[in-house]
Amino acid sequence: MKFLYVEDKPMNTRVLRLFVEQLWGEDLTSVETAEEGLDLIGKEDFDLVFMDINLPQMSGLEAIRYIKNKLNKTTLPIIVVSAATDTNVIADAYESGCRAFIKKPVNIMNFKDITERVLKTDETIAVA
Amino acid sequence: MNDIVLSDAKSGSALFQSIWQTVVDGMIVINHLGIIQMVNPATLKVFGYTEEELIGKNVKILMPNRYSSEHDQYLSNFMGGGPNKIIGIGRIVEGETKDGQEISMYLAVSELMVGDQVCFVGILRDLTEKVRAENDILRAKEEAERANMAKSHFLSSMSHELRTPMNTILGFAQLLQVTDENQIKYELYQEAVQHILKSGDHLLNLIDDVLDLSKIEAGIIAVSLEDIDVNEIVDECIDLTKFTATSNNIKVVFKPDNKGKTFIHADRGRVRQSLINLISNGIKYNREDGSVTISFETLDNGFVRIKVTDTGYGIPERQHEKLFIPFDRLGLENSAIEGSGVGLAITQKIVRMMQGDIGFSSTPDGSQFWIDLPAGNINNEMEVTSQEIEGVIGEAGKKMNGRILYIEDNPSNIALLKQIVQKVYPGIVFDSCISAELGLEYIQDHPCDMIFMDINLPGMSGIDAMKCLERLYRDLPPVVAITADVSKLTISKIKKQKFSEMLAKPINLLETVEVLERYL
Repeated sequence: MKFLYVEDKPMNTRVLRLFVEQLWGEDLTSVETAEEGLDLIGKEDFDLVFMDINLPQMSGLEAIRYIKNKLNKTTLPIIVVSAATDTNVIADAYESGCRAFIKKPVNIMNFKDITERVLKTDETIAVA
Repeated sequence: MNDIVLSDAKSGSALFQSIWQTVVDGMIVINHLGIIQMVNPATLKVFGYTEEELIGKNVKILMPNRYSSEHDQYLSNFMGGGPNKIIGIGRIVEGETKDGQEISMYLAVSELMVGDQVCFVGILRDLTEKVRAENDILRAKEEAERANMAKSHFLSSMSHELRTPMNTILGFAQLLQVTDENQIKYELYQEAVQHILKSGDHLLNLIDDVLDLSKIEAGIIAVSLEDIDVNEIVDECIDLTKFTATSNNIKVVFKPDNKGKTFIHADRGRVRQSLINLISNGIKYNREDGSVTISFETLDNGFVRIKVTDTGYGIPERQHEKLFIPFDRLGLENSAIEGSGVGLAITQKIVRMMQGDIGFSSTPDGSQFWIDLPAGNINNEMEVTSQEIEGVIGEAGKKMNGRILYIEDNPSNIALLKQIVQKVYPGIVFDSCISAELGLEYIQDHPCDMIFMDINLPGMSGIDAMKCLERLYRDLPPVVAITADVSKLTISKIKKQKFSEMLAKPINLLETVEVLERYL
């Protein structure tokens, strides 16, 4: 499995990396900006992308739109992981094309459940 | 009946005359060139002119400049079959009175023929008050909406900020929970504990700041104003930020002004909080081996300006307006520099509560933040001479012994009371603690015969300290409240506690000795 995490806060990346190692024994590739993320997604094939929203320049949601519309990776599953809790923001996230929205602080069991469902099915999973 | 009256030309004309004279709305008749032919008294009342001043004048005289210049053109266009803006319609327009006031009025114009001449009759009603009231309501509504938006923005930023350290805390705690106890690597365990503690601290600071900010916004916090020596409080703040300065390798320099003592009239605890905030910002947002310089000057407007200048990289112009917005850390959210992003918002609010102001200037070579606070009175000589004391009291008290504790954060007040006590009662041990917490600890080990308690203390207040004392000790010695804040609210709070006596600052020799005599 190849996972990519686009997140600017090192502590959040550290926690998610440990989660991924603990749950599936997999490695997590991470970048700190949406721009770097797009660059990498253009070059490599990932099985799943975790995306933060509040990023330094381009936002995570703009990045998702770019991935879907410009990079034509329409089937690449993307899970938004964000501390934003505004219903508008959550609605915008689903509209941009993410498959699931995980709220920070991340619950490890919820994270496991949602990630596995996104990988196994094509369904979009409502926010918990 | 009406038919009969109106059919009579003479009484018809009389009826018209009386309507014209008494009708509440203004009526005005102009010819096709805009020249005023007739005006009724109601019109004159609205515009403040006499009839003679208007008859024969162009109606433009009743319009503000920006409209009057177009009126001729409009009228001649209309006469030539051009577009109609008002005739037969009626709408709210602007007028101008004789003394130049602009008014809003509802104006309806109709066109009629008198003989072979075209005339226009305007009926107008002054709506200035109504329009003003409507505008006020509109403004209040917009203001409320803006405040509401700001509140939601604040709440969602706060939620976001609180969730970030929570993610680290809960993340590591869950990892420890799901990892098999016997397989937890020591490194993971150590890392988890370290991050949980650090994020926990950050979270606590955030909560304290948010609480402080909301208390200030709700107006719950009272300021207790006193005259404070600027040199003294700056020294104190430098001392309190020493640890941050050394660990960041930043030099903090105080350049006192050497023109003798300068005082500000402000709340000691709040000035300390503001200055510490500015100094630690200067330390945190600096360049390697940089410095922070503190200086002050007395301004012409009765304020003292305390300046904190750093040698950092400056604040980009486009971010200046965001500086005092809570949680906006100007893009430094992810830097290694810790902060809640609430400090300057709090500082601005508390400085304004003390009738002062805060501002800054910034270049790529550094920023300077300043706070202006009302200048204080230079405290009168704090020295109390033996003669003064002799005048107040005879020999009686001098043989007394025992222990007095003064809980007070202001060193000059401690010094003053100490002098009084030591000169009147040389046998008495006088001690002081600079906070209620320290005071409570002191009392446990050193039974006191009398306690003086300042009310406005950093941390636990004198009122809360009194509540603790009551709970802890059955036989409480006399406790005297000392306060600079003689507002009704504070006094009523003091009276609810079992203080033996209350003294108002500045400390008065005679009163103090009387209290000492009464309770010792």
